[in-house]
Amino acid sequence: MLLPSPFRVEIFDTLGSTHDEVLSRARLGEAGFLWIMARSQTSGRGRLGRVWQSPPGNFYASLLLYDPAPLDSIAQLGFVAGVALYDAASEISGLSNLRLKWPNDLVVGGGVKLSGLLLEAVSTPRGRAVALGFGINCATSPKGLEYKTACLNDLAGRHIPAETLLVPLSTALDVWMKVWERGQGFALVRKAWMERAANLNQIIKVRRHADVLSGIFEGLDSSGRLLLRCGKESVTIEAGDVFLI
Amino acid sequence: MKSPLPATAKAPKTEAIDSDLVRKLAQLLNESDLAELEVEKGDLRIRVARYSSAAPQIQHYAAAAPAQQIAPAAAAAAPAAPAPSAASSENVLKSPMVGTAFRRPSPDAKAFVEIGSVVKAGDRVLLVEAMKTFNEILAHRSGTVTATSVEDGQPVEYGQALMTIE
Repeated sequence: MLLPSPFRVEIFDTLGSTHDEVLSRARLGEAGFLWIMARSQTSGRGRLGRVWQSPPGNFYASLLLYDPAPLDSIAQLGFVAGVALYDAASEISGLSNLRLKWPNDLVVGGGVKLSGLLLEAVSTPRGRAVALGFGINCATSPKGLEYKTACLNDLAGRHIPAETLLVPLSTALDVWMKVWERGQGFALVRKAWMERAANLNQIIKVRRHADVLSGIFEGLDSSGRLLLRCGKESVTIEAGDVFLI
Repeated sequence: MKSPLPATAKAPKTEAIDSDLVRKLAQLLNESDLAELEVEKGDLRIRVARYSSAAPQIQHYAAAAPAQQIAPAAAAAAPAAPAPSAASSENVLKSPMVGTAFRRPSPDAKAFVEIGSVVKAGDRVLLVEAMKTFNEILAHRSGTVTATSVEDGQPVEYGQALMTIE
């Protein structure tokens, strides 16, 4: 497998969590741009410790990066990763109907989810490390969740081995991280993200900590926050779960 | 619509700040995609920056600063009174970013620290999530946690007090 320099990969049959492995490597001083990939995970996790079901056949990998941007721009990495994931998944599957849901979920029609990203920044002896974790449904999709799910194989009508995503994903990350320029080029990333967004200028629902808002999804502001038009008011949303209607 | 607050201006004390200019810059910021704008004219430098619209959180931060400023006066009035525990700003751990605070790694997990926890500088004491990126917040000094200022899921502003470590 030929990854663009300086990316490299270690592939495991099974791991507890690729994310935890990257974080522990970071604490041991491992060099950056290392992918830890597993064919299955026994304790795959998502945001806030939620379980990420990880049977064989899907893509589970986390990338180790050091100091990808100043602290005030680091949250933009999620959009860089989302755009890269969109490009890689579109290329490998040939699908033209993939979309992004704020901030970085890959979806098809009506918000059917295909992936999840997990980004964690920690302090290490080499500086601030970021673990960028991708879970992508290739062969199967989990059932019984609060949102609908799908997998690339079903959508593309053919078998897409999870490992084949790694090269296009690394290439796309390389390209978009260079465009991003540690935050200086976020305007271009934002534009690319909005071109790939689901339900732009349509109604969406956003569940926040204390309430649920419905409104027209107007796009991203200059730092990536979601802009929702609720009647005459434009609400800027920093945190929340988005539901497409 | 979010307001372009706060606007800060650095100028010599003798020179009045041109409020019309600040207003114009704020307007320009609102009409553009920029996050911040800085102009320099002679000795005068004005920077206007866009922040979150969550005004109550900004007030929270502002409340911490005067405590420090009024401390000498309070001490002069009642020299024998012990200093209020929250008065010393070096004890206050402030948020390095805008986001959502979490005191535990998952909803059913134990909090990283509670009031009374003894921590070392560099210990993980909190998480701040900004657009789904989780950032660990480390204790800025060794000591005992005497106050926690945020709850799980609470939005925090840049510079907002998160906890007190004495």
